[in-house]
Amino acid sequence: MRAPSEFRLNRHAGQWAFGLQRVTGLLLVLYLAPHVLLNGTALLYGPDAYNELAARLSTPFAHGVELVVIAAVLAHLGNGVRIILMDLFALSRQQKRITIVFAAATLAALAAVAAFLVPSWWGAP
Amino acid sequence: MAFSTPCWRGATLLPEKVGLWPWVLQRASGLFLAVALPVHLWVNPLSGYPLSFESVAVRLRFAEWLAFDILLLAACLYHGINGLWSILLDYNPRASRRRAAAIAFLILGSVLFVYGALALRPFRR
Repeated sequence: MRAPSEFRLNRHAGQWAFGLQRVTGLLLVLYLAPHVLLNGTALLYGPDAYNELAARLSTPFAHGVELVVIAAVLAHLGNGVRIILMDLFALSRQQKRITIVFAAATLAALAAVAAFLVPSWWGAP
Repeated sequence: MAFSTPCWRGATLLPEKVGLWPWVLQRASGLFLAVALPVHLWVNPLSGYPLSFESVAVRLRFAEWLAFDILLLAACLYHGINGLWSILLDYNPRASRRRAAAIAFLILGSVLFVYGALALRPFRR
């Protein structure tokens, strides 16, 4: 994605899959650093501080971020596996169909995760 | 002799010099994460229980889970930082910037790995 004009010039599924892979990858690597740092709370301040932080982070906004990150993981994962399969088995002629199948599977997985996760934020023991 | 011309002097970590290894390792770590991240999601946000110090400590009492978490940390950091590196190479920066970025990425990855691995210690006490 050296120039956004590539999305105007290349109107095929692979270009959008590439853009999605890059955007979700950047999002996930941006999430990773604070995720590791915050999980070190017990190391720096003890178990009580860890539990206090976990409780403070169960707000609707933080849960929303959580769901966006899970969606990014599933999208990046599904597309990454698709890229590896297409590379290894030379499937580029079926690119469009395979992309649609993987996108549908990713959306189904995301729907299943959201259907479980969203109610659990209220009904958690 | 292409390697003795001035344009190669001072160039670090060019694909021509490190070979295909980062590409293979990106695929290998990606395939590992394609299995390990759903497991990580399954046992943490999708477990049905709110995150707490005690729940993590129960899981990390098993040496297998400790090894899994350390491997997951290493694979995420490698895959994420190598991904950032290949995005950087996409913009074809000059050698001095590439060298600065390589050093910064190596330090960032090492520090996060050591900190993240140490962060698991309190759960094992």
